[in-house]
Parts: sequence; C-alpha cells; structure tokens
Amino acid sequence: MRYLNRDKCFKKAETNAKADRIVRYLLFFIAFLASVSILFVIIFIFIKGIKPFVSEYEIQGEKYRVDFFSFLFGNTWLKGNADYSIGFIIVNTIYITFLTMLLTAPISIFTALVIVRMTPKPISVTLNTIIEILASIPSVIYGMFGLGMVTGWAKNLSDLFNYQSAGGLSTFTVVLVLTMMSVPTVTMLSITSLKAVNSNLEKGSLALGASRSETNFKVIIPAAKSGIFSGLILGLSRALGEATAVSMVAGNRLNGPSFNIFSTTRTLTSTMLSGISEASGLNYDIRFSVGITLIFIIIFFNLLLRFFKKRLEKRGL
Amino acid sequence: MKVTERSLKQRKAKDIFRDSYAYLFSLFGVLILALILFFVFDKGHEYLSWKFLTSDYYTTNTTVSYDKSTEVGTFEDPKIENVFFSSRWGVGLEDGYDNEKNSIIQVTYVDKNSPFNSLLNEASQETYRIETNSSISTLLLYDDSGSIFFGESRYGAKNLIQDLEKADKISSMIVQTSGGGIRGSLISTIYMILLTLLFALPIGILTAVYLSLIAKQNKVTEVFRTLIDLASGIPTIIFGLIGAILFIPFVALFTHKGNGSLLSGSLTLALMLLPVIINTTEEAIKTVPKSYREGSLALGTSNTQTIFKVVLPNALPGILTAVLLSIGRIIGESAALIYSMGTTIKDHIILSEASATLALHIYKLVAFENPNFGAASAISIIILIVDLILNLIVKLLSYRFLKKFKR
Repeated sequence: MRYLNRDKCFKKAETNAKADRIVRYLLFFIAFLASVSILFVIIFIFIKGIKPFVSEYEIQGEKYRVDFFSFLFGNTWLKGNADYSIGFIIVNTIYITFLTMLLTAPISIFTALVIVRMTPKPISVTLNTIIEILASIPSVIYGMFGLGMVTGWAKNLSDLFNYQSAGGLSTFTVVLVLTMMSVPTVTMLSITSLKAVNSNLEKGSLALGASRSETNFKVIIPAAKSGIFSGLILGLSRALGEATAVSMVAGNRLNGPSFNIFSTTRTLTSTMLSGISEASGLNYDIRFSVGITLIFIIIFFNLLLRFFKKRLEKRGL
Repeated sequence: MKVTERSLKQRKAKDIFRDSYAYLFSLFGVLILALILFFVFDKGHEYLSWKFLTSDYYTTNTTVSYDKSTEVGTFEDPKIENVFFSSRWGVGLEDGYDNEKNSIIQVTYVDKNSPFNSLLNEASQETYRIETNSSISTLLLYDDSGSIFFGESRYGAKNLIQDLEKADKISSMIVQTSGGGIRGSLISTIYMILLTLLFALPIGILTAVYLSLIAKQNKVTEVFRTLIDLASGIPTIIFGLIGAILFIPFVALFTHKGNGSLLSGSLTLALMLLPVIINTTEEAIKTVPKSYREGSLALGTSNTQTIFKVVLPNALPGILTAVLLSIGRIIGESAALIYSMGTTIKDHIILSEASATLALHIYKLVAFENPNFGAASAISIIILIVDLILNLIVKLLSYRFLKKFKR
C-alpha cells in the first residue's frame, strides 16, 4: 500500500485545480468558436450579398450596378446584362412551400397517429423504420427520382388537361418531391409529441364514453398540437431551403410568377444552383444576394409561425 | 342527448371513415419508399458490378502491338450471341455504344491463352493485358507474306474479325478502356468523410462537454445554445456559400490554388455538421448517470479527469451515434459541396483539388443534359445500402446504450 505524503497531496490537488481551470478556459474558447461561427457565416454572406447593389461591375466594357428595388420586385430574372430581379422567384418559393405544407401536414400527422396509436406493434415498428429510412435518403436521390419518375406523372396529368408541359418539369413535380422530403421530418417530430401526450387524457376521454377513434382525433391530436406545429415549422424551413432536388425538377423559368401547377417554375434555391459552374463576376455574386433573401424569408416565417404558436398556446386551443 | 341505435351506428360509420383516411395517408411513406427502391433497382442493377466500383470514370487510350506469330485456329468459339469470334486470336468482339452513344467495338470475350493477354504496350514497352469491356478503335494488321490490313471501329465487329482471321501480327492497335466507373468518387467520398470528421469531431465533442458539464447555466451559455440551434436550421446551400467565400480562399493560402478543393469542401461540411455532433453528444452525456460523476469526484479525481476518464468513455456509444449520423449526412450532401468544392469528377484524388463525392457524381450524371439514370441509380443503390447499414448500427447502439443504464 502506498502511503500519501500530506504536502504531496496538497500539491497534487493544486495542480489538478490549475489543470481544471486551464481546461475550462480552453473549452470555453472552443465552444465560443463553435457557436459564434454561425454569426460570422451570416455576416460574411451579408457583406458579399449587398456588394451587387453598392459597387459597380464591368460587363463588356460598361459599368453596371443592380438596383435594389427592381431586384426585389421585378418579374424577370435577367434583363440585359445586369438587371437581375427575384420578386417573382420569392412569390414562386412561397407558393410552392405553401402547397407543400398543405400536402405534408395531413400526411405526416395521420402517419404519426397511425404509428403511435392505431396499429399493433410489429406494423408500427415497420412503418416507423420506413419513415426513418426515407428521412436518411439524400436529396440528390429524391431529385433523381423526381426527374426520372415524377416528371412522367406530371407530363401524363398535364396531357390529361391538354396543357403543354416542359417534359414534366413543373411546380407540381417540385411540390411532390418536396412533400416526399419533408414528410419524414414532420412525421418523426409528430410521433415524439404524440407519444408525450399524458395517458390520463386518453383514459378520461374513453371513460366519458368517447370511442377510440374519437379519442385519437379529438383528444390526442389537439393535445399534441404544439409539438406537431414545431415539426411543421421545421418541415417548412427544410422545404424552403432544399436546393439540389428542387433545382433538378423546377425547370428554371426565366420569368413569372408561375401559378399554373403544370408550368415550369424557379425557386430561390434553384436560382442559386442553376448554371453555377459557368458563373463568374456579377452572375456569381448575385447568388449571395439571393442567399440573403432566402435566410431572411426563413427567419421571417419561423418568427411568424412561432408567434402564431404562442397565440395558440395562450388561448389554450 | 339520447343514445339511440341509429346514433350509435352513425358514430361507428364516422369512426370507420376517419380511421380509414388516416390509414390511407399513412400508406404514402410506404408507397414512396417502394417506388424509389423500384426505380433505383430497375435502372441501376445492370450497372452495378465490381468493375463499376473499381474502374476509372474517364477512358484512356493505349497503343499496343503484337509481333510474335500466332498459330491458326487453336481457340474454341464460346458461341455467345451477337459476339463475333476469332479462333486465331481467341477474342470475341461485339458492336456496342460508349457513354456518349458513339458506336464502338467492344471486347466481350478473351480466351485465357489468347495472345490478347500478352500484348505489348508501345509507350511503356510492358506487356498489356486487354480487359473485357474495353473497346478497339483503330487496328493495323499484317500477315507473314507482308500484306497489310487496316481496320477501324466504324466498319463493325464482323469486318474486324475477318481481318483478324487473316492476320498474323498486329502492327498497332488502339485500345480504349471502358470508363464510367466510380472508383475516384468512392475514394473521394472516403477522404471527405475522414477529413470532415477530423475537423468537426474534436470541436463538436469538446463544445458538448463544455455546454453540458462545465458551463454554468447562465446567459452566455444560453446564447451559445441559441446560436447552435440557429445553425442547425440554416439550409445547407447557405453553408455552401460560406465555403465559397471563406474556406476556398483560406485553403488557397496554403495550397496557392484558387478553386474549390476537398479541403475547402470538408471544412464547410465540418461547420455544417457541428450542431448535429454537439446535440447528439450532449444527449449521450446526459444519459450517463450523475452518480458516475459524483462517485469519481468523491474518489478525489479532478473535474478534468472525471470528464475524460469517466463520463466520455461511458458516453462513447452515443458519440459513435453522432459519428454515424455525420457520415450519413456527408455521403448524401450535395448543395453545400456544389458551391464549396465544385462538381468535377476525378479519377486521381488530390486533397488540394476538387473531386466529386458519390452524391455529386449522381448530380453530375443526372442534372445536366442527357441524364444517365442507369449509372446514377447504381450509385444510389450503394448510398442507400450504406445508409441502411448506418441506420441499423445506430439503432443497435442506442438499444445497447439504453439497456446499459436501465435499472
């Protein structure tokens, strides 16, 4: 057995304390870097993104500067050499996201309900696994699937309505592909919130004579509303920010807005990706301006929906 | 309200209606997965082979010759459909098309004793072994009497075989490898995974340790957490933008090349994955019982020792989950990399140069004119299988992890 020397012990404790302090400062520094980096991201993109509006670009011997208001409210992506505008693209993006959420919400909520409460365990586990696999499929595969298969459906459908579509590249295709991609996310979050509902509510409802189905739809879903709403907010952010798959099936129309679901369209993200490999100068920098717009739209919708969620919760609905 | 038989029946009908549309909606996911799998396997299974995984994307031309004389008619015809066979040389040729749909003559069968296995590479003077699926373009032959035949791919396989049957020696022949393989992209993906984890893991884990074990729960910590949450909600393409304006110039400081590279791509992905790693690791640390820490501290260890020798080893399965989740994201990421690295497919991978990962390879094959769904689907099959395996391991880990701390 080792006998401890009293002085040595104190010394050891002192060095340990010193090491602790050093580690604490070091880790604080690392955590600081890791979390503050995101602010730098936004600031850097912002600086780069406002450049087209403040500095002049030389294209074919003439100097150009992008006008901020025509950029925000125009209806043609590029007129002449430098007259960029994304007004119609913003409208397209919001329109597409709205349609996507309209499809995603019922599908996700009911899928989650079926998984949590309406099927025996083996089936619900299988369904859950399927949703998890769907969530892990990369967006480029959804894009390929959309281009190879969903465009075919879009084409047949638009033929049915006697509408000449561009090989199926359309709002319809984009919405369907985005729905496929956001359903897993929203479903997974809805499952969590449905599972968290207090079982007393269920028991109370059943004891009052409500049927199982009535309990599920009129007690359990409303009780999980707040969590489901958070899931929908996340799904909406993903739908707004999804790039690769959308750019593959959107068709990148040059003007708009396109409200016909069978006509080609253009979203903020598809604008950022289309023709990126040949882009340079103003054509490259303007994509950062589109990027800032995207960030602002996402933040705006997040805040708006969060505000609605708070209102809902306050009213006890 | 009085409960009558009729109202009960009405209620039952309503219940059945409600339930059935819920079930109907829940089939959406099953349907989509089935369709995606069908699509991918239908188009991709022909392409998927060992050769597809291990060969180069770009074709290479080699000029070869053969000047030992051959014996006549020694090889047996394997009688494959549409394949013209030369019994003198022991090779089977077939008319086919290359990736750009140009007509080519493919070597589909080579006898194991064929002279085509011991050709001479004109450039390097080494023996050249012809591979099946490579193609022959130009051919200059002569026989022992000195007459010369000239063959070209546009005359078709049948004519070429007739010339070969008459010839004794090959003066020169241009062999083109088949190309279209994904070896480069596979290696590039592996590099991308390793580099990204190398950059992201230490920072992510240490940040998680700080936030959950060391930091006081005050305003500053709260701000940190809010920022990390914010970062996890930002679309990947925005991270691509930051890669383009921050990491490409940063890497260029060391490599002196101005374009995107594997390094700039992996730094971008590392930044993007930090929130995932931090959150998952924090969850893992939270599941380690507090008594472990208290016990360790009571034995007189310092806080640092407790963290690195007690808490983190016990949280290891959870940290592994973070790693696996990150790998899944890295393999599938495309939008961020299109900006921060570019989409050039390469066969020889250099860290300071751009190259495509598997997801970018798919993008490159499909998103432009004349999409090649076959090869892209074959790559998708690989990605889907890897994803499935990762998912299974994560499931297994979390199951074991939960079991360990359950009392």
